[in-house]
Amino acid sequence: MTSADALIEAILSEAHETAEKIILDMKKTVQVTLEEQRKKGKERAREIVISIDKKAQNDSVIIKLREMASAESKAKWLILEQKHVLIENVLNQVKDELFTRIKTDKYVNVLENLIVEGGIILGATDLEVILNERDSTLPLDLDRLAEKIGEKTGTKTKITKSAKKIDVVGGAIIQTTDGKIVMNNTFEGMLHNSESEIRFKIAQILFT
Amino acid sequence: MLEVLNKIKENQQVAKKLINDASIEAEKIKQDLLQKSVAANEEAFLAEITQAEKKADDLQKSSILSIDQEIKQILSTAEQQAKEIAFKAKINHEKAVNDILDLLFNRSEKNDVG
Repeated sequence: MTSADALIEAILSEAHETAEKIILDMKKTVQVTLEEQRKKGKERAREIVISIDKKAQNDSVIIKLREMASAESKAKWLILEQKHVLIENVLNQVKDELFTRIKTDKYVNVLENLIVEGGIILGATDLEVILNERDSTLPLDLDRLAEKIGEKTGTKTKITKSAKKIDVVGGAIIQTTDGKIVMNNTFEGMLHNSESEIRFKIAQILFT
Repeated sequence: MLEVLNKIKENQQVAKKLINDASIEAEKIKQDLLQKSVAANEEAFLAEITQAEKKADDLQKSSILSIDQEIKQILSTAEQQAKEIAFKAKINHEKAVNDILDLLFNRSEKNDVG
C-alpha cells in the first residue's frame, strides 16, 4: 500500500465514522426528546388526573351514602307495608264481624245510643234519622229517644224516621229535617271519621 | 504525482458526500422527530387520563361491592323484623278486632237509653 492509498483510506474511514456519529447523535437526541415530551404529556395531565381522582373519591362516598340510605328506606317501607297489611286485616275482619253483631239483641240498644248521641250533638228541635233497610224495621221508640235528647239539650225534640234508606252495615245518619246539619253515626261513617285514631289503636294492640 | 492528487481529491469528495448524506439522513430523522414528539406528548397525556378514569371506575365498582353485604344485612334484618311483627300481630289480632268492635258498639254508652 502506498502512502497515498493509506491517506485515502484514512479519509474515507474518518468520513464513515463522522457520518455514523451524526446519525447516532441524532437518534440519541430523538430518544431524549421523545422521553421529555412523554414527561411533559404526563405533567400536562397531572391536574386533570388529580381532579378525576378527587371526583372519584367524592363519588365513592356519595355512592355509599346513597345506597345505604336507599337500603334503609327500603327496609323501613318493608316493615311499614307489613304493618299496613296487618292493620287492614283487622279492619276487614271488623267489617265482617259487624254483620254478625248487628244481629245480636244488644244492637238495638247500640243503635238507639248512636241516634241519641247524634241528636245531642246536633241539638236541634226537629230531627230525622236515616237507616238501612233492615234497621228501618227494628222496633225503635223514637219518642223515648227524643225525650232523652231533650233531657240533655234542654230543648224539646222531635225525631222522625226518614223514608230514605242508606246502604250501610248499621248505625244511623241523624240530621236536621231541613238536611242542613248532618251527623253520620253509621259504622262506616265512624270508621271513616275516626280512621286515624282507630288505626293507631289497632297498631298499639298489634305491635306493642 | 498529479494522478495521485486527483485520486485523493476524488476520495475527499466521496468522504464529503458520505458526511452530507448522513447530515441529510439526520435532518430527516429530526423532521420525523418533530411529528413524533407531538404525538408522544399527546399519547402520554391521554394514557394518564385513561388510567385515571379506569382507576375512578374501579373505585366506584369496589365501593358498590363493599357495601353490598351491608345492604343485604339491612334488608335481611328488616325481613326478620317483619316476620316477628307478623307473628306478634297474629297473637293480638283477635283482641284488636274485638276492641275496635267494642269501640264502635260502646262509644255512646254514656247516653245509654236501655
